Amino acid sequence: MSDEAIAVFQVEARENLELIEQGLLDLLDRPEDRDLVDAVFRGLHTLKGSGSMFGFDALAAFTHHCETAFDRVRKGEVAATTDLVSAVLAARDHMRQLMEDPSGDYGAAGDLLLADLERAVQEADGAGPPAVVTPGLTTWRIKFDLPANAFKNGANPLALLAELREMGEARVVADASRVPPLSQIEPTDHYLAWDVTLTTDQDRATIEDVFIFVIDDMNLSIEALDEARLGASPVQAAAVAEPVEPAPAKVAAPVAAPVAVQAAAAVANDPVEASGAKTAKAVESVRVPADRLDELMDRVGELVIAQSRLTQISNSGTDTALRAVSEEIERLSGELRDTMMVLRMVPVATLFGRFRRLVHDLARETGKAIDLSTDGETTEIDKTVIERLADPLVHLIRNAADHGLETAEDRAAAGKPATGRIRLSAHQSGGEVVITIRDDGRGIDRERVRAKAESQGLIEPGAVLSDHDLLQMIFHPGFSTAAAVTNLSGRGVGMDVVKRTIEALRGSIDIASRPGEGSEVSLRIPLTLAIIDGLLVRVGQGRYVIPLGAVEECLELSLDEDLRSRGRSFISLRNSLVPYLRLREMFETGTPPELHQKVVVVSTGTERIGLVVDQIIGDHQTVIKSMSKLHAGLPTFSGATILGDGGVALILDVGHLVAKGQQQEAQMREAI
Amino acid sequence: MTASILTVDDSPSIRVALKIALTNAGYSVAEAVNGAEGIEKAKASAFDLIITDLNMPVMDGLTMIEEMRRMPDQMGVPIVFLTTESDEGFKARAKAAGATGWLTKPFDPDQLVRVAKKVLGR
Amino acid sequence: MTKRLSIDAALVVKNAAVIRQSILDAFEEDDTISLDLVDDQAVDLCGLQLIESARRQARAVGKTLVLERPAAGFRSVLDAAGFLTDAPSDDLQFWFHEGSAQ
Repeated sequence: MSDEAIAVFQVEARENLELIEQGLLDLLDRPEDRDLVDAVFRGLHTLKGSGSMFGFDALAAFTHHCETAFDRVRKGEVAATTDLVSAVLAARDHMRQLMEDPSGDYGAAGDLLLADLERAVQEADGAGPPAVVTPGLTTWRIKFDLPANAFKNGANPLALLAELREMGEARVVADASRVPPLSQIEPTDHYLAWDVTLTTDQDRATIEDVFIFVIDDMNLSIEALDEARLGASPVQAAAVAEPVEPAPAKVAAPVAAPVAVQAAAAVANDPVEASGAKTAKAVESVRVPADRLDELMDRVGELVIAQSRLTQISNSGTDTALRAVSEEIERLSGELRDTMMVLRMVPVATLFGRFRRLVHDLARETGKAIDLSTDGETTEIDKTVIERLADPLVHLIRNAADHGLETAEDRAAAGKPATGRIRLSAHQSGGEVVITIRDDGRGIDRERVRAKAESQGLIEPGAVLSDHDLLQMIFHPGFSTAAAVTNLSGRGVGMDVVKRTIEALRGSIDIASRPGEGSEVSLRIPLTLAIIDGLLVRVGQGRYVIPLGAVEECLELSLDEDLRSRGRSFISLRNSLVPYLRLREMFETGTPPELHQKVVVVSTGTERIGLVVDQIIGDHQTVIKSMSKLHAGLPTFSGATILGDGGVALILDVGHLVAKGQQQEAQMREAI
Repeated sequence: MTASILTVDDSPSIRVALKIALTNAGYSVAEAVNGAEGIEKAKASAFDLIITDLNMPVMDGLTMIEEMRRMPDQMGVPIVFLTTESDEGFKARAKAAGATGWLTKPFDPDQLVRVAKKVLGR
Repeated sequence: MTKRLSIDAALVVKNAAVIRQSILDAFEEDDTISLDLVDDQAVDLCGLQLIESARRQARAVGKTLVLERPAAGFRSVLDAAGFLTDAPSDDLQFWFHEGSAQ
């Protein structure tokens, strides 16, 4: 099996598992919903089928058991109880493991899960397993003809006869009596008929199944001549039995009754109702591998770069024809880039969907009733951004469930409804998407935050802080207000990591909280990562890009001022001192300071520093290239870009530089 | 003699899946990505069975079946289409267009091979 | 006189219309038609049905249709299709020249 085929399978399997999970979660709310039951069953069935096709045997075998159990729900034999659905949810996670790591040895864990599942099925099954009777031998008289177009359409009567023969002892008599003479025959029409006597242990439905492709348009009569039951006693089927071959979609008539089958209604009780909408939808979209999209993005990026070189060349000459073409190409490549951006956008629904499961698990583990509502799922963000947002959001939702929401008793005491609410919403605002996580819990306890910050030495005891600044404390590294570390949160990852991740996405994070009413964390994320507006600067011989969103203002730094502040690198900016970094020194350019250095003041929302550069070249729209492995370890840079003249500029990581500036400031303070 | 099967589907993953299952069952498999290519391939060499998707770009499966049934050389060549449980309407139209049988998606390799054997009679 | 009609094309559905016409044409030419079939000729049920139809035609218009040689190669197909089960002797005679001499 090729790796590519396996990768394709895994992508589809992941989506399928996602759908199964969503279906199961919905079932918890609406256990009677047949459509949901069918959807989950279909998902399991597909996973089993494609799993075995691609050699994921452990996955196929495990899924088979779940499918069998769920089939009983589908047939209405057992109810979709919470325990049963939860057991299948747990099994789903196991399937995911088997899918991602097919060589792993998870047999024991799988057996435990199946045992749980079986228990849940048995508990859900008041009636007990139905008795299954092994059929004896029956002799059938089967008379049939075929549709007139059978030959033309490739129906092969010999194949049908061969199938009947495989079922048992068959005597086949052809009836050519209806074949007209040559002058009257429609040579490709079918005029033959047969009379077959078959002794078999198969039932009527299985015999009808032989004719499944032509049954709607033919005459078929199946008559039981005798029943030669061979002394087999009825056998009880196990609770989770091997599934019986799916019978054709029609109700089997009682044995020994001759039936002329006109199976127009064959599909009437098909469990899956036709939904034309689904089919129509499938036509509208084409699945493209993500890396191919990235490749296209790269090409577009290179085109934009080449185009800007062309613009430079045409602008420096006097050739108006060249300039006209250049402007046309500039417009086209701009449009192409915009189209490309839209291609990469995916709705946040794909992200939000994952959290329903998380909240379900959190509710079970904390014993709190939690209601998750989501809003603005159709808001779209760059797919790379979506992927990187998952972990921070998981952390924030865990925080809300674990620290934010009170226990049911506390809520009752506070006069709140027993069920805690977490609300996840997204909306677009300009070039940003704002994602908020709001809970109606107890809110952040300022006193505890202050006590903790003081004990950690983050603030002076008794220091006067605004409420906003106090709340910002929770983003400091290592800060955690959880009095007791629970299983869910307060472990390892802190809010500081969340903040860093968001800032790495060139986003910002903010928190608001009202005591007793709840908290709200807002993330502001740029729509796309791949192209940024930057300020192109020069330091020594090298050129660098500063993300424009972080730039507050640019100031002149005279040589005098530079020398005067040699000791402590602060500039005075409207009555406040802003620390600054001399990039020339940091990057060890080995060049002397220029006469008219500039200070670019950048901020991360709360903190700001100045960056001293030799020259500001101008605005520059930049396509970010990820750094080579060689440079990936340099935290000062977040990426690289190719300039219009073919040179390379590194993109400064503002968050990192700001942290560095603050660090320097702290050292200065100590030194004083 | 090995029966030769032409699979027509725009989805690479379905084509791969079909090919693996059919090859393992001892059939020889050729592929086309849409109905138009299916017809070209069928003109170039005779197949014992054609398995086709219905929804495809360029030329859909339905049109391909209709066109093939108008071609004397393709008369009687079994054509099985792949369908989802939900599109009964398609099923009726595909049969009217001259399809031999169908295979309901999702299917596992056993079901696929069973249908191939059923239609081919071997 | 006997008109010998040799049929080289496979006796299958896609050739049915052409073969039908050539047999009909042969009936126009003579009272006795002998079909010359190739030994390992491909045949499907549509082809067998066509031969059956030709036999009926011969009966209807009072002419004679025979096979040039016994169609031993068709036996397995005829058998599988149930044409040989309880077959009357004239069928066996027609296909395999069994029973009464020609």
